[in-house]
Amino acid sequence: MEARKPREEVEMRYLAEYVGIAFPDAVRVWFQVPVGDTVHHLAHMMGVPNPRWFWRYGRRADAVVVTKSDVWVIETETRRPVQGLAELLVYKERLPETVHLKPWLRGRRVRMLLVSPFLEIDTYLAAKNAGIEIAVYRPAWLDEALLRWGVLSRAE
Amino acid sequence: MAVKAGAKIKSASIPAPYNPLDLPDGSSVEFIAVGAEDFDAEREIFSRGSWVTQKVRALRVHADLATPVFGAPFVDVFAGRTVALLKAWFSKVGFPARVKLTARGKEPDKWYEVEVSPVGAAA
Repeated sequence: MEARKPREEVEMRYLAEYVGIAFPDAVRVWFQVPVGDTVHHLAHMMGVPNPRWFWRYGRRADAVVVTKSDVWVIETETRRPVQGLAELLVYKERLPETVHLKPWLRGRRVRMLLVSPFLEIDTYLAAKNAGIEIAVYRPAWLDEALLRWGVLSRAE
Repeated sequence: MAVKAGAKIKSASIPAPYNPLDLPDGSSVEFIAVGAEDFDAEREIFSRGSWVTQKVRALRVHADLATPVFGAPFVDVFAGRTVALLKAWFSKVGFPARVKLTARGKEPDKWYEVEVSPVGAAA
């Protein structure tokens, strides 16, 4: 049987590169981190002392970055920035109840950041109203994937 | 180092032995990464009742001897998203780095939460 080809993981590369470049002063970084207390809530409801079996049901932020003064919750969206905006609105509500992040929230400002290779004006305006910051990051290597996905046209 | 049940390494562009990362839900490994090299591998995974051959781009992460992973000075990461993430991170931030990998969920919805921090960083 023909072996399956390896998948290209564009989003993970995009996320890690951006965080590595933008936060050289990071004290701690989590990728793919559950946000909110869903897991602990479920464990409590089921009478299980250890919540680890319920991690899969948690909301998952692309990254949480702790610097000396801030805690950044980051979503990267290479195709549809508006989806990242929707997720950040939920994470913003749930972050204070995230048990394993609580010690890092004390004395730090919480900031929400949406990272995308292009700017959509309506997403930008909605993000601004919601207190969510936006960064545009478009490395040259990403264009090939954006063309393939139809996000960019060949004329651009 | 035994290859864990559920995945067999058929061939790889680096020589054996291998130390594959395959943690159960909720478990973690923490180590200081001092280097990494990517490699191609073919492995057989048990999927939907049969063994399937899969080509993967994997990453061997070398650990500080003071923080071995399952007793070895390196760990082989085969999870595609985790490989892409760690490669990009190391290429931008470099070594050494304290890395903690935590398995979340079970196949086919399993993923690894990745925690990284500079060595010696404090809150």
